[in-house]
Amino acid sequence: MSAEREPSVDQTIADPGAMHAVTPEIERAAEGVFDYARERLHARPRNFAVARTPAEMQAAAGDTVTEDGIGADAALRLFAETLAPASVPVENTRFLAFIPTAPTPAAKLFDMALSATPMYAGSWRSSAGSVYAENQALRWLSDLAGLPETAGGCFVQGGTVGNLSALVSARHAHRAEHGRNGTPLRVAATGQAHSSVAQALDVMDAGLLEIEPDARGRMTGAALEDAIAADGGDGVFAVAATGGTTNLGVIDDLAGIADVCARRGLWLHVDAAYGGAGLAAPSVRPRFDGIERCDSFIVDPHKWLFAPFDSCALLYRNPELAQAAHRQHAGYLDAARVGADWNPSDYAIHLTRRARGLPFWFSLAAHGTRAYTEAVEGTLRVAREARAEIERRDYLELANDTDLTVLCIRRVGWTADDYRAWSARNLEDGLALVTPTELDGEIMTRICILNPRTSVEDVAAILDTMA
Amino acid sequence: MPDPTSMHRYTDETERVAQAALAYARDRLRLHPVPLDGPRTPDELRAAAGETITPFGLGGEAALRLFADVLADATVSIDNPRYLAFIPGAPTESATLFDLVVAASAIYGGSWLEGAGAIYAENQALRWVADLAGLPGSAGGCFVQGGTVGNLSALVTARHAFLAARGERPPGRLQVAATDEVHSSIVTAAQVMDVDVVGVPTDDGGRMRADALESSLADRAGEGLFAAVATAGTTNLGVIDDLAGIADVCARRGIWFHVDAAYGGAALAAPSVRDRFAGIERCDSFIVDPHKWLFAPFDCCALLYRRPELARAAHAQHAGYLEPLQGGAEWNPSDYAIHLSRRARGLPFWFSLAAHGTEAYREAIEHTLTVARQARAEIEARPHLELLNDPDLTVLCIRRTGWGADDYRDWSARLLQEGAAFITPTTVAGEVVTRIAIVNPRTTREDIADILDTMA
Repeated sequence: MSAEREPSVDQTIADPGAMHAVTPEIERAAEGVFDYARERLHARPRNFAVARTPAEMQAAAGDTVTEDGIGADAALRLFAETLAPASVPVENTRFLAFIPTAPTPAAKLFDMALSATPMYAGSWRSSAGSVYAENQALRWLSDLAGLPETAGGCFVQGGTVGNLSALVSARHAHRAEHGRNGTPLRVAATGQAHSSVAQALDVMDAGLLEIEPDARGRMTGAALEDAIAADGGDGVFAVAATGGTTNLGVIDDLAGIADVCARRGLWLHVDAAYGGAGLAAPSVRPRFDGIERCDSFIVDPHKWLFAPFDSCALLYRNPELAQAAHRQHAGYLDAARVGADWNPSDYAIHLTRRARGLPFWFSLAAHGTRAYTEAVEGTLRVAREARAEIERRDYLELANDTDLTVLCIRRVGWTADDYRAWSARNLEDGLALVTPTELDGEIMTRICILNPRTSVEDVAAILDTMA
Repeated sequence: MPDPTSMHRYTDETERVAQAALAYARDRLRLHPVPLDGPRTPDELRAAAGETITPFGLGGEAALRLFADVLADATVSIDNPRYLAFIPGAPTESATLFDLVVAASAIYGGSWLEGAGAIYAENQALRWVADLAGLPGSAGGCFVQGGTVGNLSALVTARHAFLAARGERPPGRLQVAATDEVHSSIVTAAQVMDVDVVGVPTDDGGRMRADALESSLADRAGEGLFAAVATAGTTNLGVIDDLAGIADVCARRGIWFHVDAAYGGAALAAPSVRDRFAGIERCDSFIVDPHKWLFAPFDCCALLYRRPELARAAHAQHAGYLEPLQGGAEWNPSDYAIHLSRRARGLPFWFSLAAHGTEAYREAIEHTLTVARQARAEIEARPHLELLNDPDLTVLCIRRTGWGADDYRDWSARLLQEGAAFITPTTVAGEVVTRIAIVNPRTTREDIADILDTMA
C-alpha cells in the first residue's frame, strides 16, 4: 500500500499532469474508443451474456488495478473482449424482463458528447446552457401531464431517488403548514406500488397506510377514502399512486384519488416511472386522467422514453415547496448564489450532478415529439398483438389486464421450477431474457415491451418455447 | 402508417450525426486550456436558442450545432485549471474517453445477472479504495450518484443496524452526532431520515475532536444516538477530523462511525498526508467521490461498508419481478444504497485507474498538494491577503484586507466575465471571504499567483 512509503513531496515527479494530457497513447485510445462506440451503435445485439460467476470473471480478467497500469489500449481490449460480453446488452429486442431500456442512437451519441464536456449541472450559474435545455425537455413532460406553466423540477438519478425526493417535499410542506405534533406520519399506497416507495418510507422513517387494490391491481378513490375513513387517517400526508405499475402495468384511478386528496388536503404523488411515456400516446392517454391534479410525478426517460441510464424526470406543481425542502446550505453555496436562478440541485436529493437530462433532450429535439408519440404507440400496438398471441395459445393464460405493455403469463401445469428452468434455458440459448415473477403468491412469468424494435414475432417465438 | 422504429434505426442521418458527435468529442478532448465560458440569463438563452422541442424535430445535426455553438458556451468548463470554486472536477483523458464507451453500451449496472462484467471491474476499483483506507477484505459497497446519496445511504444503513440490534425503538428521537463543518448533505440526510443532529463544537481549526464529541454526547445524546459523522477533508476548510479519537468514542459507545471523505479521500493515496487519516481504518462506512479529486467525470461517489451485509439488509428492494435477482451470492450494487436502475458509473474511474496504474494517481494527488502548499506561500507573501484556515489538504480561505462582501462578489463576477478564473465567495465564521479548492493537476502555482494578483 502506498501509505507505507516515505513522504515524497520534494521528489522530482516525472509528469503529474500525464493523465490529463492528450498523449499519442491517448490519441490511439481515443480512436479505439470511437471505433468501439460506432460498432456498438450499429450493432443490433442478438446475443445474451450468461452471467459468469465471480470466480470465472477473476480467471478471465485477472487483477486489473496495478501500480504501473496496464495501458489504455489493453484496458479497452479487456473491456471489449472480456467484460462487455459478460454484461447483458439491455437494448436487445428480446430483453423483456424487469423494465428494459431502448436508447435511441441519437440519445446515446449525445450521451457521448456530454461525456466529453465536463460541467457541473447543479446550478444555473455553472451550467446555464444545459439547465436551459433540460428544462425544455421537462416542460414537454409537464405539458403532457397537464401541469401549469409554473410547474418545474429536475432530472435525478433514478425512480428511487425521485420518489423519495417527492415524498420528502410532501412531508416538508405538510409540516410547514401543520407543524409537528408527534403523530407518526404516513403515506397511503397499495402493495402494487414500486419497491422504491417502501424504501422511501423506510428511509424517511414514515409509516404506510396500505390501500387494498381492486381486482385489476389498481388503487381506486373509493378504496382510498374507505381506508382513511376506517382508520381515521391520522398523520397521513400523501398518497403515492402509480401510473403504470411495474408488475401488472396498470394505472391507478388517478381522478378518483385526486378527488380524495383535494378533499382531505393530501399531497398526490404519481409514480409514472415506467408508464409516464404513455402520456404521449393518444390511445391510452385518457387512462391517466387526473394526473393533471397531482402535486408531483416522476417518469424515467431511461425506460420508455428511449434515453440511456440513468435519468428520472421529477416534476412538481409548486417547485418552491421542493426548494424549501431540498436546497442545501453552506457558506460556499449561499455566498455564491445569485438571484432567482433555477438550480436543479435545489429540487431533489443530490448536489453535484451530471446533466443527465440532456441525452433525452437531444433525441427529443432532434426527432421531435411526433416521433416519440409514434414510437410509444408502436410498442403499445405490439403489446396488444402479443396479448392476442397469448390468448390464442391454449397452454397459456394471461394473468393481468394491462393498461400498457406488461403481460403476466401463466403456463398451465407449470411449477415455479419449470419457469426458472425455462428462463435459464432461454438465456443460455441466447433466445431471450424473460424471468419469473410472483403474483398473489403464484410464480409465473412476465414480459415488458418498450423497445420499438421488439416485434410480435419476437414475442411469438418466446411463447412457442413454452408449448 | 408512420414507422415507429425510425428513431431506433441506424440511418444515413444517424451516421452523419455520429460523425459530428465524435468530431465534437475529439475536438473537445484536445482543447487545452479549455475556455472557461460563463452563464447567460434565461432571456439571453431563449433569444439565442429558442424553442428546441418541436413536433417534427430539428434534426440531429442542427441540435448538435445548437449545443456546441450556444448551450455549451453557456456552461462553465469545470476542467479549466482556473476553475477553483466549490470542489472542481478534473477527469483524466482516459476516464472521459471511457465515459463515452459507457454511454454507447447500454449496460444495466444494478445486478450481477445483467452486468457481471461491469460490476467485476467496478469492484476492483472499490477494492483499491477500500485498501487505501485499510478496511478488511470483506468490506464492499458500490458507486452511487453523489456524496449526498452516499452519506444518506450510509446513515440509513447505520440506523437499520442499530434498530435491528436493539430489537425495539428507544424512547425519544433518533440522533446523529456531527459538527457544523460537516457537508450540507449530512443535514439533508438527517432531515430526509427525520432524525436529529447532536451538534458537536469544533476546535479553532474546524476539526471535530474526541473530547468535544464525548462531552456533547454526555450532555445531549439520548438512547437513540446511533452514529457519529466525521469528515476527512471538510469542504469549506479542507481539514480532517480527529478520526482515531472519534473511532475510540464510537467503539466505546457502540455507535456507527461514518466518515465523509467525499473530497478528501483521494489523499489517502498521498503519503505526505496519509497519517492525518489515521483511524479511518476503524470506520463502519465511508465515501469518497472519484468525480472530485480522483479524476473521474460526473457523477460518481464510492460508498464502502466494513460489513456490507448490514447495508444489504437495509437497502435491498423486494418485488415479485425482482426475485430472480436475489437468492444467489452474487454482488448486486443496487442492494447497497438508495438506487435501483443505475448506470455503471464507476467504470470511467476504473478504466483510468487500470490504464494508468495507482502510482500515477499517487503522483497526481501529491502534485496538487504541492501546488496548494505553494499557493499558501503565495498568499502569505502578499501583505493584503490573509489565510484564514490551516488546511490539511488543498482548500484555502482567503481574506482581502479591507474588502466587504460586495467587493468579493464583484471581483468574482469580473474574473468569470473575463474568462480569467472561476472563484466564488464563501463564509467563514460569519464573514464573507473567498476560497479556492485545487484538485486539478494542471492547475499551477502561476495560475494561483495570477489570480491573487487581481486582488491587489
